[in-house]
Amino acid sequence: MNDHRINTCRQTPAAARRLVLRALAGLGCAILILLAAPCAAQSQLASSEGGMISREYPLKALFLYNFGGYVEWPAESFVTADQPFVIGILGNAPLDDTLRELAQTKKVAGRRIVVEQFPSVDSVRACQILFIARDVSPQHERQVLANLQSQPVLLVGESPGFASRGGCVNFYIEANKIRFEINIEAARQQHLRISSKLLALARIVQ
Amino acid sequence: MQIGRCGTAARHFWLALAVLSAGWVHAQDAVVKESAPATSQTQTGTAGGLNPDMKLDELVKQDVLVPAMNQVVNTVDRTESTVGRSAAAVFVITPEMIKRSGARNIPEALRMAPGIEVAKITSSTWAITARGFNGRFANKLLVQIDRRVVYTPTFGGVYWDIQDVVLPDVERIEVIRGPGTTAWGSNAMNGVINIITKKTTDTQGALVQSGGGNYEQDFNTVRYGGRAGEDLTWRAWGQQFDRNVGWSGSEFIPDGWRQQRFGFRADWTPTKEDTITLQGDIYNGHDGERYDNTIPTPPFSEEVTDQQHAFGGDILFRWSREVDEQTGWQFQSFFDKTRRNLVAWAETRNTYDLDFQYRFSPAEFHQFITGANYRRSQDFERGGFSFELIPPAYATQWASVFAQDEMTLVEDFSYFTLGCRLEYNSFGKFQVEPTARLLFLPSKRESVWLAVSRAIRNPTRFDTGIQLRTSGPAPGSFFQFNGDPNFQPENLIAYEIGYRAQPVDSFSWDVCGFINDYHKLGGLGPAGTPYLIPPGLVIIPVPLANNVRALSYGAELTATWKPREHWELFGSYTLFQINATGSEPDPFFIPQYNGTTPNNQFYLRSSWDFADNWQFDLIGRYVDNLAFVDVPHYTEMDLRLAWQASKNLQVSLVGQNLLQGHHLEFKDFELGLQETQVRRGVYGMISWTY
Repeated sequence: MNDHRINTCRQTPAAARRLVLRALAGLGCAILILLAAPCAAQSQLASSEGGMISREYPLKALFLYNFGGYVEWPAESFVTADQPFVIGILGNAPLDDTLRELAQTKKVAGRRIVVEQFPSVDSVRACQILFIARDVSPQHERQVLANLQSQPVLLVGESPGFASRGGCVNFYIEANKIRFEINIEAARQQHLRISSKLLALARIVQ
Repeated sequence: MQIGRCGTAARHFWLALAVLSAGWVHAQDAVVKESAPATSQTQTGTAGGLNPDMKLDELVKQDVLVPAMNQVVNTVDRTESTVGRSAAAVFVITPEMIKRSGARNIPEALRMAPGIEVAKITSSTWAITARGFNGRFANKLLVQIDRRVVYTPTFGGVYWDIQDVVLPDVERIEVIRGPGTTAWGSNAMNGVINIITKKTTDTQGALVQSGGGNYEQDFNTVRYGGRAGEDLTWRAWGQQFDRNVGWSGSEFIPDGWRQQRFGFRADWTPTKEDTITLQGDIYNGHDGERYDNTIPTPPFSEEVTDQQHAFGGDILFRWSREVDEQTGWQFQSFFDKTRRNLVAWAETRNTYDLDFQYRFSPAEFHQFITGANYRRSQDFERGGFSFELIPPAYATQWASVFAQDEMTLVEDFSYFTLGCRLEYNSFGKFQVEPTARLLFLPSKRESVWLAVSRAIRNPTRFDTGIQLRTSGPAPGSFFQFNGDPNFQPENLIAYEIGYRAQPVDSFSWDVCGFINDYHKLGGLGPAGTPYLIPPGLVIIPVPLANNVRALSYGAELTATWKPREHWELFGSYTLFQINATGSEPDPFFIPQYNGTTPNNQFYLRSSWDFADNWQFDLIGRYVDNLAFVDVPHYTEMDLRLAWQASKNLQVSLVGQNLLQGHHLEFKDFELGLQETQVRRGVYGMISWTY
């Protein structure tokens, strides 16, 4: 509150009034533009799909990782204490980036995660979760299901009817959300126990 | 149109409201309801833009297709939304931005937010405000840490020296410019800053940070997060720092600052819907400072070199239940105790707060949120000849209820929000704080919004009971500034408009403008008749009064551009103009309002990952001159170089304020605190996580 800081009031009420009027005029113009905007917007809505980002596969990858915590594998499926938890992918699905990212920081039941992309049906080897992408042909799908019959592998797919054909878990999209169905009997045949928390979120199929 | 009467201002508000309402009726007619899938809350993080710590119950709620502007915020109206869907001037500071800025504390992190003015006075004192009215005791901004209100009813601002968090554990800092009083209560007049720390599920494991340099002499943080059973996670942490003395321009001032702080947080999710949080921290700090203290004996003023001891703690309990996307409630309560002790002044303050909010959808296309709050803050003050608060002990109380309805006019195209808070404060009368906000989403990558709000700033202990004495015109005479026990709430009608867009994935920008019309701002009343007090001292009383009005306008522009995969540029520009006038010749408040906020501020950051595991960041900022405090404009630069030595270890080197040896940012014009200049600083840091 020292004197040298004292300053006279530079602007008059009239200047303030002009400022308000100018500002209100600006706001008015802006509102008019906005009122006109809906008409223009209608045509843009049709082309707005390009403005969307699809997170289908990052989400599916997170689901796969999370499944690890809600499924019980038989003790004999891990021979050694430091054996990793293997998530395999068959077919083309851009899951591996997210899964590898998760594998760097996360663990499943105390085991590090290894992600394996299998180039063909014959190359599929022992893993805990196998994701079968929707571009895998029905013939190859049957072959994989037969090869892995009764083995402790959680078979996860994303084709309609996969769970009814013997898969354990099948993803589908409903109302812009990822949902999944579970075939409990199929899981039992793979010697897997699925926790009730996971079942509560799933649609149960036969 | 006559300006200058409150009635006119109120008419403007209703007029604007009517125009906004007309806008949505028009919008409803013009556009056929669109059947695109509803988009809603999304999260950002690492895994493909998603938070990798999401659990199944969160995953099933995530949208597959989302609009690009999907940064989560919940400060605007207390419900989780995204920046692209907020009808307010929102800016989000992410942990990555904090890390890359080299900021060592909350004020430094806030420098990157547009529309916010951060000016340092001494090592431990800042003047921080949104959209004008800055000062050591700036009083028009609401700040919360994990929803604990941290502004003090002593002066309506924030003691920045006692606010701290573990910066790597910050989830985000949401900065809203413009009124947030409907959602958050009085004091959120010019803005709201919400500092939100991570859930304990996201801070599992150990973190150790240690470093030091010439100005930030040493700092250390240790945090450990663990789990007890499937549903209960926790973290505990401790941190400490020691900051070097400041430079006045001619000599070193012993304003070093050191502090220790310990805290914890536990989150328990007994069911899918419930989250129960308990958190708290305690701190102990010493702030060096030098100030002029008015004394009743010759030479009537003494220079005091003091060690301010500031210490306290707080504890917060929150129970939230999310029934579904539309329905949920939250109960929160906190207790906060803080003390500070100087030669000239001491204060103890105990604050209790109860808050409840409930959101539901009473009908299709209506999302309702309502709530109630009660707060009681008891203080005990010890003043002296120079500075006193009358009465020396007082309990400030607030009680308020609010309700807000977000109406979907045309799904995925236009939304209209109408809300109001009714508030009672033990100083003021009953207050009404309404807001009306209109949001358009012309495309998935654009949004336009308009808002009109009335906000108030409740009287504080300073306004109602300060007794501040400074030297008068002759030796032995003193000006005595007296608070007005009948000080009225200051009020504001704010008109805002904004546009944001992300035309392509690599570029987004946001611009907003505002006009703020203030009434009943604090000013000086006519000086009273001088009188004598023993031992023959002359007192010239000068009362505070609500006799200033002001009109401010401004704009804030931000843009983010990612020209290459490993290179990101961020810039912002803040324009601010104000004209304060009053009926009385006021040599203090009016020039202060007109001259403590820069007209122009620029901020530019380049973040470049120039090799695997190497980061290089460059920050430039420009701040205009401040007439009232004789602070020249300045340009400064910060640099940061970081090396990720292994998965767990990061080493970084940071240079702050490199362009000049020292520069002045602000001065205290109220309590005679000797300001120090901001010094060039370099520090190194090692950060280890496991």
